[in-house]
Amino acid sequence: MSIRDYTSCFLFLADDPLICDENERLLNYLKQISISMIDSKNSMSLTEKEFEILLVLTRKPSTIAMTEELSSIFVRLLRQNVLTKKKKKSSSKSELVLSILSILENLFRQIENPFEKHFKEFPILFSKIVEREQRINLMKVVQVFIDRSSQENSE
Amino acid sequence: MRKFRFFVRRKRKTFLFRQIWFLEQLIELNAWNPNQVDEPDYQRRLTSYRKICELNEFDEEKNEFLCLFHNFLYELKSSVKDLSLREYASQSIDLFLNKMTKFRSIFLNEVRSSLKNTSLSSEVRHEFLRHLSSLIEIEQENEDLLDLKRLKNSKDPELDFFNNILHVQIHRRFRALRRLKLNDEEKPFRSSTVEHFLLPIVCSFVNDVLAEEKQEIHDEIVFQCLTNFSQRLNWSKFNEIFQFYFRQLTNETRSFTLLQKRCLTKTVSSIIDAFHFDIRQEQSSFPID
Repeated sequence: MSIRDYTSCFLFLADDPLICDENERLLNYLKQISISMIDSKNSMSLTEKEFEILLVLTRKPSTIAMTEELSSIFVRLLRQNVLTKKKKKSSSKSELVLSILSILENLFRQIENPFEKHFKEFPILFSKIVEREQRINLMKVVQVFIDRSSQENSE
Repeated sequence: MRKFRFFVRRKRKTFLFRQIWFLEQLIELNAWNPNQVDEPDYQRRLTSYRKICELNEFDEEKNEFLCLFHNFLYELKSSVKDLSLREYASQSIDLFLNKMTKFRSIFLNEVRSSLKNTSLSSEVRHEFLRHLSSLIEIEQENEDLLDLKRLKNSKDPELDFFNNILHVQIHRRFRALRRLKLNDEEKPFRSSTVEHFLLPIVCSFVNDVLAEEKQEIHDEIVFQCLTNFSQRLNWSKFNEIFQFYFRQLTNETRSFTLLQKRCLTKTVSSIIDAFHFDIRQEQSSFPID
């Protein structure tokens, strides 16, 4: 089955054991897209369906490694959405940034040492994210970094 | 061995403790008043700024410092009406620029883009120019800043370009432009200095009139400088600036007052006067039917 056929039926059969085995392959495909998206420095992005698949994968990540990979993909997506220059700022883009920040908040709670793994990607976002709601969500992510570091400190 | 482990563990704990402190400051700097809609929590934000200004150790390699610096830049640009927050953000930027040289290039990029931002308020632009002026004094490597150094005059503030261009009185700002023109005639500024700093400063006079922030420009020096500096631009930049103002002149969706239209016409005319491209070769390359 090609990756395109697979993605088209994934949304309906996400919990199917036959499909679950292929999750890693799919994640790898999305990782490659997200990396090329950053490299190209243009407004290229994931398609709507690919983004939906990412959301489904986020719902039930089978391993810690998978959660970490998903976190990396979402961080890349966040940077790409915030940093690429678009002439018109749409409300859907703003909502997308909000959703990604909420997802990252959840994912960072599940991985070990998120600060050391992902914080280096964040500095520029503190000046580029300007909308109030988005900044509130960004601060929630910072709070997760604090919680996880405090947890490590107390151990 | 046990002592070594204890030492490593203690070191790690100190590191984590500092890391948490910086992250907490980020939260404090972005605190909102829970009792007022859209109102920053001034108490928490200003307390955090004070704590940051008391820092003794700086490390430009640490992302925590970089995050704080970007947060100050955000505050500087977004606190258009919050004088206290803008002042504190400005003070913190000064501190970081003095202590960490790596952040200077980041700040210069921000100055360049802010000066070119036509919708930026004059208060924020003045704040960026004030920082640029202090950066010129301390920076020794950046060629654009070295080029701008001759506009500074630490002995006589009356002759200092930046002191005059930030002055509240409009005639002092025009005087600054006159000195700028004289300086350029004595020794022309580098084209990148003109493109990134000087031309945007001159254009800001026109942009303020278009944004209805200022009254009409009653001194020809603005348009003379505009012509002077536009002559230094390459085709793409020249075309960009011409199109920007010409489109506004022919814009049907926005209505301008008579004063604004007059200012726009003079601006477009000054840019056309600066047309310095040799089109003879281009014409000859086209086949004539």
